[in-house]
Amino acid sequence: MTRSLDGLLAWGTFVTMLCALFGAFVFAQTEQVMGDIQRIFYVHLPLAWISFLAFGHACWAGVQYLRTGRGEWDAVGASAAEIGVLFSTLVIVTGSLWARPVWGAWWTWDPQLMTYLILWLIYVGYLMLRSAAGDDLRRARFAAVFAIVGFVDVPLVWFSARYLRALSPVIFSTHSIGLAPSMAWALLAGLVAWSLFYALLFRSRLRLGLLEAQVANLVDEGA
Amino acid sequence: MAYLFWAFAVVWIGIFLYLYGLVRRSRALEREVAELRARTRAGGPARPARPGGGGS
Repeated sequence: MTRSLDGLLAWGTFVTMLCALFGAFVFAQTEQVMGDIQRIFYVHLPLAWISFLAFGHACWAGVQYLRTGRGEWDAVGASAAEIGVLFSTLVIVTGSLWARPVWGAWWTWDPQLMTYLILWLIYVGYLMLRSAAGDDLRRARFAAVFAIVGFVDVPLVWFSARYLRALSPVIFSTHSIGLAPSMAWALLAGLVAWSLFYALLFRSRLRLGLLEAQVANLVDEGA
Repeated sequence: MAYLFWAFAVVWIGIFLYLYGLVRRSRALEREVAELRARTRAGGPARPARPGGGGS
């Protein structure tokens, strides 16, 4: 069952990723003002959304860990946060590569960029906290609290683009999508592809984390 | 176009580096399990003995 689901996810990721690349480079029309550089959005935006999803996942796992005290939730939180940090690092890099030709700067102290950088720093801190030596139970409890508190920054990132004077373009509002249909389809394909990839990556990372914990327990018991 | 190329290249390089890291961790785990099995068969302590003395 596990293997068949992984196989299904792998194939789904492969096919949708090809569709997403086709959508980004061929199907989506060229943006009139920015030109081809706008195509970075088809990878930047899905990665940003999936990073929010991953941090939300880590926060939820933190709540479950504090509620139940089960070590599996700690492994879930660690796996989700690690992938979240990977994706958010890629978001910052791709954002900078888009900003340089469009804004003329690699980075600006825009409210959305700042809040996103803070989010990244919080979860990098989370990973550093986890890698620090110490009692496993205490570390897991601290990590759970850290993941929950860190997630508070996610709505700030979201709202800063809409209600503060942010430079980043707002694509989605409550009334409309600010994209041509071909662009919206390319973005949707990217979202589906990266969501499936997240699920696949998360399952692999979680399995590894659980095995590492089991082996560490066996070593401790046998010592 | 160079920025567009590098944006996609960085994403895939980052993803492959992360996957490579996962594979390395997985291999290290397999080695540890094999070592544990060998020690269990030999009847010794599960944890490798430290140079300082005790195995705990």
